[in-house]
Amino acid sequence: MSLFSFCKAMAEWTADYMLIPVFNFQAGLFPPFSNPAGDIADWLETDGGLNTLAWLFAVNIAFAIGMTNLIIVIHLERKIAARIQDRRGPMLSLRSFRELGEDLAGNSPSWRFKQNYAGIGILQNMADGIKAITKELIIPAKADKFLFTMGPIIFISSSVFLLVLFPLSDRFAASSAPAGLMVIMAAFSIAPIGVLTSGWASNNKYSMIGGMRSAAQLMSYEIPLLLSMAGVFLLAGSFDPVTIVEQQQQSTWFFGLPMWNFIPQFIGFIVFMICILAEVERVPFDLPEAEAELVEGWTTEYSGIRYMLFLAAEYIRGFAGAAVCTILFLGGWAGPWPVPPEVWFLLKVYLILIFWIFIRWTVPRIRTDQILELGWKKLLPLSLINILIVIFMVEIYPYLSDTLTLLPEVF
Amino acid sequence: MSSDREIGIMDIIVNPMKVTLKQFFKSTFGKPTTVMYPLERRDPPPTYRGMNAVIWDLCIGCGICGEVCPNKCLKMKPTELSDEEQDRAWYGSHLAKRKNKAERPAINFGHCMFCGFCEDYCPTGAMTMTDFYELADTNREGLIYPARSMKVELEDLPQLPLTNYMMESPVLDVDPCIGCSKCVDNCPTNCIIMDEGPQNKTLKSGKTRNVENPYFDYTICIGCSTCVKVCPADCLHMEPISNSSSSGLSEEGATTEA
Repeated sequence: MSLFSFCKAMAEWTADYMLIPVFNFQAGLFPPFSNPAGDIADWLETDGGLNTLAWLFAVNIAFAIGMTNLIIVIHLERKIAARIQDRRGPMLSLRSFRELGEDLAGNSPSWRFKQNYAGIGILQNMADGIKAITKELIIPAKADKFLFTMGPIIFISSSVFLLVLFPLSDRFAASSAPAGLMVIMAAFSIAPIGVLTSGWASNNKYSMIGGMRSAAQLMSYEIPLLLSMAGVFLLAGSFDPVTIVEQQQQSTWFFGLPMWNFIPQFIGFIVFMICILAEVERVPFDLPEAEAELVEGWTTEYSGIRYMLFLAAEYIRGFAGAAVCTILFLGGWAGPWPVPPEVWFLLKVYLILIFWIFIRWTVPRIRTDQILELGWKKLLPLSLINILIVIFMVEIYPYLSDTLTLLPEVF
Repeated sequence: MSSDREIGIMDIIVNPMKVTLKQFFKSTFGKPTTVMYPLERRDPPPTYRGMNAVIWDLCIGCGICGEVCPNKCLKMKPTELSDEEQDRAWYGSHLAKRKNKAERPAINFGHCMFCGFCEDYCPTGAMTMTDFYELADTNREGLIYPARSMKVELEDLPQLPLTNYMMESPVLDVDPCIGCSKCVDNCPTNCIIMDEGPQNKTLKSGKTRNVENPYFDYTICIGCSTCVKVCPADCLHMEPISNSSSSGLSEEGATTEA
């Protein structure tokens, strides 16, 4: 049972028992006047109305799952960063409250895991969210107010849009567009426009340098990124993530081991990992918000919930980038049977994210001229070599092997 | 890239990643450096300068601590004050009340920079600095500590560990010693007792006497050489010590042989 058929059943139940009676009741309230409620009730009975409702449910489920993953990713980042820096990271959890209350009431704690109030620290995310929401939204006096408010909308909406585009498995997908990965990369590429808009509208030199750097970065990594993805598309013959993962599941190596795409296309895998790091603007490619050089880059003038949503959108983009990398090169949701495919998918995504966190606290940021040199002089030729290898694999090698097998018969 | 050596992939990612992974596993499966502060605390070093305390039994009310205070945060205030007077005491002068009233130091910790001059200049050693450091308060007046709150008893203070920074310790020449025990009287840390001997001595006047010789406890000797200065018979001299002898691990009879 796929996610969409589940949502379809849910939509039918909701329309039959909740929405249509409510709209009919509203339509009967004011008979003399023209009332759209009756038309909506009629529309909900048709196939189009039910499909629309089902899409709404599916998108909401995908959104909720993406946001849950976002909190986990942020928490993972903070804890691992703390451990690398010999700290403890956030420690506040609900259990801390209980033990603190027992201690303040004078009772000895009833159950103690350790001899202190240390928890996992998941409550710190709630505290940060509440703090960001209650802060003031400041718009600078000489800023371009329209673009200053439009920049976050472009950036955040294009990032949240990513959440519904990649499937967690072949049965758990909110959208199943045939050109799925192309849509994902298009949504990825909208964000630098938002960055540039915000940086320009802030009327701040640091913000503007950050926005310009984002545009310069886009020029250097975007072409090798798409060229390294082209190899995978050639192998699978499709842009659809489901088809790509099925191709990886079917192809095998020695002893029936799975041959995921990162084995034959190792060069493309390396190029893609570097470019997707630049795409999601993580260290060492976080040139637009280089907090050591520009104050906070293009987010300098933003405050409150806008700033928090910027940060959240960056982590959403990181999660989506890791998901794209998993689909393209790491076999997607392919894995041994007893574990559900969705869990396999998330496991691979989190492995990539943890690797990125380690990279973040290991390497320094690179310069603007260095990223241009890296993108045009090194990654572009490497991705072209990768495409040549794939063309040899797909187009030439089958005919060659056919010819070789035919040779004894000829002579 | 005009450097001497071309930077390779090892320098960019591999070697730094080794350091990161090592630190990550060290602090994940070991213990991080951070302590859970309100529940577990780290002991400050023995010479830590925290909140002041005054041993009232030793204080003579001379006011030198207030004179040497660089921030003028220490004032001498009367000891006998009611609660209302105590609240206003810091801002007023008490010249009228000074007659026949004992005065003790009160400190405004909002201005104090914990330089420790008051402790150094105190002639009787009444002013001490404890290792108490949790002085935060909700208002500015809460940081003004009246004289009464600085009072401590001598027994309440922990004794500092005595360290021989001079790296010298007195050594007894047994033959000239006349057993006068002046060194015992003058030793500031009471590390000498008349415990060696008794031995028969022939004095200059020809008499023979059975005298006891001083024994030095080198674990609490600070190397001040006071005993050498006061010795009437020049039987003591300072000798450099090794670390083992300052830690009290030397043999029993080793000191008297020299």
